Amino acid sequence: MQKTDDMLVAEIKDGSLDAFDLLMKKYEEEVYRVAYGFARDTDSALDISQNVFIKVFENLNSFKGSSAFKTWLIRIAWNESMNWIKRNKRHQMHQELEATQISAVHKPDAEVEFTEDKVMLLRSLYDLNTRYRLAVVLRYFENYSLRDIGAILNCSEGVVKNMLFRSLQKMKQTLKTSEIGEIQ
Amino acid sequence: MRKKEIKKRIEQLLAGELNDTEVSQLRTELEAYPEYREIAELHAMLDRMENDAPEVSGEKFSRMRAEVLRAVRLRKNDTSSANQGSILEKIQLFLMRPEMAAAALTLIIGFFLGRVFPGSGDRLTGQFLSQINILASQNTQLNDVKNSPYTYSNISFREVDQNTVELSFDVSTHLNMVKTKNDPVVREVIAQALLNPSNVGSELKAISFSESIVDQRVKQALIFSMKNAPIVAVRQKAEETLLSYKEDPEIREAFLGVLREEESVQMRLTALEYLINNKIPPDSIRILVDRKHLQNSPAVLFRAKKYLENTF
Repeated sequence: MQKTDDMLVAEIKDGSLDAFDLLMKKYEEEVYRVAYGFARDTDSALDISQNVFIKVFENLNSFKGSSAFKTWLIRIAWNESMNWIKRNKRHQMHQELEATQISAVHKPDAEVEFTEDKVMLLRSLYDLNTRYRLAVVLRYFENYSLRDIGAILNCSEGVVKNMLFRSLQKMKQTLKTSEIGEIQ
Repeated sequence: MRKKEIKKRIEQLLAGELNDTEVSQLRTELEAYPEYREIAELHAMLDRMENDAPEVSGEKFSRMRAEVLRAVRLRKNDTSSANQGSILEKIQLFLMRPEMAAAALTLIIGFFLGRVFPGSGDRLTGQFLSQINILASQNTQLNDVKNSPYTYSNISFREVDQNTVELSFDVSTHLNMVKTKNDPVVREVIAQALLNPSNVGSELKAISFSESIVDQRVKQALIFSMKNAPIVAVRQKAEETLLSYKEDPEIREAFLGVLREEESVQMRLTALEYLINNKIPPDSIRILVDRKHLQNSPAVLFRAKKYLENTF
């Protein structure tokens, strides 16, 4: 029988590193993908993931189970991604976006068009404030329910809906501004 | 539809709460509201996008987990050391069992022997021993052992009596630090890398770093490598580096050794040139020629004879 998160957390609190290893195996990919949504670089996303799990272990005693473990974990992943962004500014992210653009040169036309759109879209995404960005990343890239996003961001589903609307509105403005910039 | 209502519907669209009919209905309505239509288009585009995070190999993830476990263990150990006071109570309970008391007595005697003979009982060793004791008592599963921050090697056991066993082993751990090139630790590590090379690459790198360092132990480690490294490229690199030490009697002696015993003709020629340029007494070379030490290498013998002719 596969152990539930609650069972694993209880074992870790009792000192089992095996349980902690299992918990990491269960969520490493998800944490990495969320981190990648912010860092846009594999190695950095892995570094962030590493810090996330260290933080999880250090703070597990403060996790009382009032929310699901996954919600708590993704909140830590978000905080760590924010810390990473503060430390690294946007340097690496822009490098990655440039790389996406360069790789588009070798692709068929339709795909190039999509890649170019994607680069523009990612640029506009990175102009959002981090809370809004997380909402978009979780909703569109990780297919989280609004309820889960609300739990992570500590707000109601209604607020998440509004956040998504405002995020897309802001992204649309950014896209327009950059299009005008390119024409000029 | 009023603008306020359109906004509400758009929010529902973004939340994935509309069915296909409602979506197409909304699309028609949006013709009159270009600013909202663009949001719906953006939503459709984002919906097509998936997380493009490149796949990461299982090996990378397992390395990450190992790093996390290593960090976690070290922190746990730190906490344990800080809480030694509370551990005393546990020790009292533990000692109430006779077999445990006997084992503990052995440990205590060992500890005091270490104190009396400080060769193995200095403060650092004491702290180190306490770390591995804590770790050993915490590890319960094979995975804990695999992920230990320390590596045990050269292990042997000897039964002392029915209750005790003498253990003998080396313990090592991996450290990572940034130091200025002149730092004593850098010199120490270079010397260690040459005395106990883990691979040819690290040996060559250590030699490269040693080029800018003038240090007795590094010099001796280079001489050691020049004489003993099994790979000729390493011996040669060490020799090249030693050329920068001018008129050094220790190096002169080492180069005479190369001239006598080295298989590589190139290295012997280099050693001979160094000796000639650093004013070695011609007799030292003459002895080698007379005793036929250079016989097996005509090029070296020719150069040595030429030098001896010119010294007259």
